[in-house]
Amino acid sequence: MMARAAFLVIAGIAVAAALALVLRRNTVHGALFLVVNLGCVAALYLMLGAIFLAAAQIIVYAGAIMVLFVFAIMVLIPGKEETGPDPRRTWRLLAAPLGGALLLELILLVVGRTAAPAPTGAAPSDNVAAIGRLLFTDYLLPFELTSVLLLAAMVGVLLLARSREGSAEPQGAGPEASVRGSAKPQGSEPEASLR
Amino acid sequence: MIAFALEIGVGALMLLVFIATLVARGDDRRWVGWLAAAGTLALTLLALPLSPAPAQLGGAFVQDGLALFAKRLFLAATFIGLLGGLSLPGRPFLRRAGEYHILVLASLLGMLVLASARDLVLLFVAFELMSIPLYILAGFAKREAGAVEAALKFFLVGSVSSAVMAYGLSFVYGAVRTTSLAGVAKAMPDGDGLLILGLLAVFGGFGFKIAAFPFHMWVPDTYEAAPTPFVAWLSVTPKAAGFVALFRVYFEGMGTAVSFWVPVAAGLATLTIVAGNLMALPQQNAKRLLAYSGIAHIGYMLVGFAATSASGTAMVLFYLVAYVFGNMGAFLVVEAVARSEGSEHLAAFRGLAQRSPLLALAMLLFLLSLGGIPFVAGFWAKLYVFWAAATAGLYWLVLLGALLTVVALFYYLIVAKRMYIEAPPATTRVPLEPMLALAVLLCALGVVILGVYPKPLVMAALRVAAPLF
Repeated sequence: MMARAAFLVIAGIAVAAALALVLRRNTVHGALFLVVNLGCVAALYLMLGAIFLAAAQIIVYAGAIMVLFVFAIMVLIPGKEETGPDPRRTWRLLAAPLGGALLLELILLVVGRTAAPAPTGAAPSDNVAAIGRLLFTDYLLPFELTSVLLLAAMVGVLLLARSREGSAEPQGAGPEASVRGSAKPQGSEPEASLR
Repeated sequence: MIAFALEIGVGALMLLVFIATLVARGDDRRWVGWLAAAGTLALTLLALPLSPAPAQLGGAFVQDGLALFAKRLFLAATFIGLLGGLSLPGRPFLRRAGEYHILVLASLLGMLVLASARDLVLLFVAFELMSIPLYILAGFAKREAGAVEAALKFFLVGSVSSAVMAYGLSFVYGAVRTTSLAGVAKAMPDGDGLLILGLLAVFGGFGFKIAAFPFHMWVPDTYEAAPTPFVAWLSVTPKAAGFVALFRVYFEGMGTAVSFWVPVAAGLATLTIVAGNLMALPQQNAKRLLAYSGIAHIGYMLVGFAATSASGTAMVLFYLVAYVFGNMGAFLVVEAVARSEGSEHLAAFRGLAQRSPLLALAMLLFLLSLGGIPFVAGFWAKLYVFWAAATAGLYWLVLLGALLTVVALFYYLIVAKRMYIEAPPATTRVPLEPMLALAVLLCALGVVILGVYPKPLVMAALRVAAPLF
């Protein structure tokens, strides 16, 4: 009974924060509502006994990624909150009934289901150990593939984020390796002073 | 270990290219590309004698006939694509050749694993490993006009599709409580609503990746602005990988429950064929024309998918091979012409037959193959796909497809008319880099050989598709 009440409260806050995130025009406020939402979802994970997932949610999403979000918003759109009439209003109006139909379908499906079978797998108490074991046995290949993915993403970020190169760099001199490039100061002046 | 030979090979090659990029000096680093191309060729040859191996990782990774068929195709297509891109001019390709090839190989690794994935987690990770390098590559020449927009469109649409797919996968897991595709297939005949809803959302995610009709918006803009040899490769291999994954998720082990996907696939195929062909008609830019015609081809492959039978699957596999050669070849010829004329407008092709008869002949072969004229590969591909759909009773779909093939022929032959009938603006030959010429030649050979003697490949495709049902 207690758990049910707690669930309803947390889930209610999560849904309200998600709605506020979508509806608020001020992007910084939106980002802050997202923090609330992510925190509530972490609490729901805790209630399910998924300790590791809850911690990862807080550290990775509510922590690291949100900081990045807020920085990106502040750097990219300073003081230019989305205002004025919506140019794609008709499309959004069309999306509403379609989304509504999907929501209704989901609700019907979930309500119509018989009680979910008991969760299989490890007991919640040694959650982290179980996840660790799975990651290095059954899910070893996806785990390793994500490291390749991160490597590719890193190469890509350095590639795309490099500022103007060209005449600034001396022709073929220096130990400049392209993948390491962005760690160096860019542009002609710092380049010249370094040498 | 033998089951992972190709994946380990591509991963090692990628790391080798990475290290080579670190030690590379100077302004022209294209030699790193030679390393990647040679390695891919070696792996392609290595893949040919491989035979199926037992499933690994508790059935999550299978190296069966279908996987091997697909992997050989991906490796060969990547080799041709790399050949075409070796001599790319322009500063980013000289100095950043290493990064270009690292990203292509990372994406290739994702495709290889995707062809073998029998587990939802592995499937999703492989899918992302395939897609994310493609977004970066689309924006590779970031100083070119439109490149950033093209990459951003591709990235946003791709990310949304990945999100839709992940959302769908969460429903699937919620319904069947396992990430194994074998488990999903076993639960499918019960007709659980949540499972079907999830799989439909996943289908939407796949639809974005293979560029089926309502999910195709990114294709023309991305193809137009991205570097052409990359587009040649982008237009075929990820699509092929998407189809193989579709077969794994929606067909393998489902038994009679596959018939559920007939209306979904048939509807999508109808929309895609009609929209792709009609939107291709007014195009004056060769890359946009090929982009829309590529969408139409995806529709034809969905016709084979809608047959939901072993022969339908096999014919889609054959179609994919024919499409790889025909479409890549056409894009590579566009690259050669655009490099010489500085324009991708159809007008750049005027009188090509008088200037470079062999190049024009190759382009004609590719166009005829894409259009479906007898005795080039594309004809058999279309015929077989239609035949499989007719066997499954989808006569109206076959009729519609055949009707729109005529429309497609019209816009392909307009290009041919420009090449053969109109007067050339200059009489000089179109200069052709040797490696680009070799890539075009390989594609032309593929189109002709499959057109004259398609039987061995058809038989191989039938053999690998049979165990799915």
